[in-house]
Amino acid sequence: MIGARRRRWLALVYLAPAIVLLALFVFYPAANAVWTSLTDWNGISRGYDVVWLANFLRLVTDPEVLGAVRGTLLYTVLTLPVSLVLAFVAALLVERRSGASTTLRLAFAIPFVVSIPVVSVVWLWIFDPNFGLLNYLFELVGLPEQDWLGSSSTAMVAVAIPSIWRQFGYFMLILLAGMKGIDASLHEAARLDGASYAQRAVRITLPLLGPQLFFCLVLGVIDSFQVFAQVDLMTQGGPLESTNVIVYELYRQGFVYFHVGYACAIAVVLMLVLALLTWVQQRWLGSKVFYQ
Amino acid sequence: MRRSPARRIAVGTLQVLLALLVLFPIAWMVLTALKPPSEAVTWPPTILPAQWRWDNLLNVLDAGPFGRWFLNSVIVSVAIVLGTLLVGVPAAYAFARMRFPGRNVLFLVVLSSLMIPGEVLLVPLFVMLSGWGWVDSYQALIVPFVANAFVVFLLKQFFESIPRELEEAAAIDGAGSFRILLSIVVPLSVPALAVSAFFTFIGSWNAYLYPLIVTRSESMRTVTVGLSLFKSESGSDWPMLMAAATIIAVPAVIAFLLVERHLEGTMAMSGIRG
Repeated sequence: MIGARRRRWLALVYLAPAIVLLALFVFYPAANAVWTSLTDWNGISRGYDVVWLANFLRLVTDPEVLGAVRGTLLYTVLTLPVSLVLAFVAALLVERRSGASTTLRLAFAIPFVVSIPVVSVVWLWIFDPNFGLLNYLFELVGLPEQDWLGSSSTAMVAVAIPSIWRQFGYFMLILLAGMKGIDASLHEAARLDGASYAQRAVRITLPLLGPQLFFCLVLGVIDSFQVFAQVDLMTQGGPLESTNVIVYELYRQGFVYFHVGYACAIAVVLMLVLALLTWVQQRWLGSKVFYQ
Repeated sequence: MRRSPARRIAVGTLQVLLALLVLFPIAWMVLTALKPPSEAVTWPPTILPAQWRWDNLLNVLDAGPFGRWFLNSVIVSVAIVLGTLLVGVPAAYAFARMRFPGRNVLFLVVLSSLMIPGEVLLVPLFVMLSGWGWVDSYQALIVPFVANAFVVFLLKQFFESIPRELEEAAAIDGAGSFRILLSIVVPLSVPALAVSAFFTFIGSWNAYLYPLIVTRSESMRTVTVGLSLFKSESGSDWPMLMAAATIIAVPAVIAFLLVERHLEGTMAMSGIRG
């Protein structure tokens, strides 16, 4: 048998690469971001002043940042409820294991693996004001054509649609995993009592999927708060800042305006908000919501 | 369970409608990719190409640096997948099976890295990598992503589900822990390894913001960033842009179809995503 001391050494050898790399490329930069957020560093010069919380105080009154926060919230509200409803309907539709359902399951999940830049240019083409398919369909049914991404009243909706399309299939997979855990006898008993399919879906399946739906909700909020590529490829935050979002603002502050300290302050606030969300999720899912 | 014919028709219709709706943008991308440039800008649009230009897909690989971008993404993604498993498997095994002081604390530390969003690291990482002269290099695109706490977590969960007896028997036969890991644990963990590789691959293949920032020269861009450059340069050559998009989508879809059968079980066990 190997001695305890040698085994301890072995564990260290096994763990060292992961720990060293995480320390170097995650924990150290994160600490650095927190420190930089307390300074007015511009990213280029050697010197900088420590301004303590000045960046954070400026954040809460900066109209550009507040606009980005509003944009992010609007994007979240536009995408998530629709995605969750679609995911639930899709999950009900493919729940039974049959040939057709398996194919459909794949069809619904495929948009999720297509990268956001690809999804964005495809929808850019569909939304194209001159030759886009959507305006053609509008013309067919006699509705006025729109400059979807070029008008500040429709741009965020146009940014949200591809995200819904890409997102709901993944939520569906999570809901399906939850449906597997639902006791079939519950449905059977309700059916014998004369409950219709729709009643059973809403009164039995839906509440029993509580934990999974909640998981998807938090996951969706976290993803929405980090939206970037859609905006960069489809609108660059415009028109008139109507599609500006937090991470796009962070990118502009840090890498376009070189307000590095300020960009780090935005990043730190984002980190705290996401950490809070994760904590709420863990607490909720860890304690009461899991029935199985 | 018997279903009435009316409901079966209703469900079937809904299924087909939803599938068409979901797959249509992808079909539209591919159909546009196969049209000559002039046909894409006709009104009313044609659904099927009048001329099927299959060579569009090959031409785009020769169009400017697109082939190079594709190669860059392949190199970076494959390196990240291999590196992640090489670093993740031993770490997960140590957490799953070895006893040493501070194990639980260390595991929590590793997990806590998942709480830190990538956007926070962007600025400091860029500054650090600039200092090392790593900006615009393969190592900048690869090395920071090789330690992946999600993969360590997923593999640890899986390793713990393997019956201990197998490893104990091997240990009695005199096998060292490294051999046990390689010849018993790894072969039994193919589903978890496949799912880990899949999420890592998708993550790096689809990454956009980070490669946008740490690459500068045209020859170091990855496909996703390249697609954005292509978009600004190609003007109204939609078939060319859609051909590029199609080529970028293909590897990810293939990867998904390869691991799809392992996904559900592993996802249910870990309860997390990539």
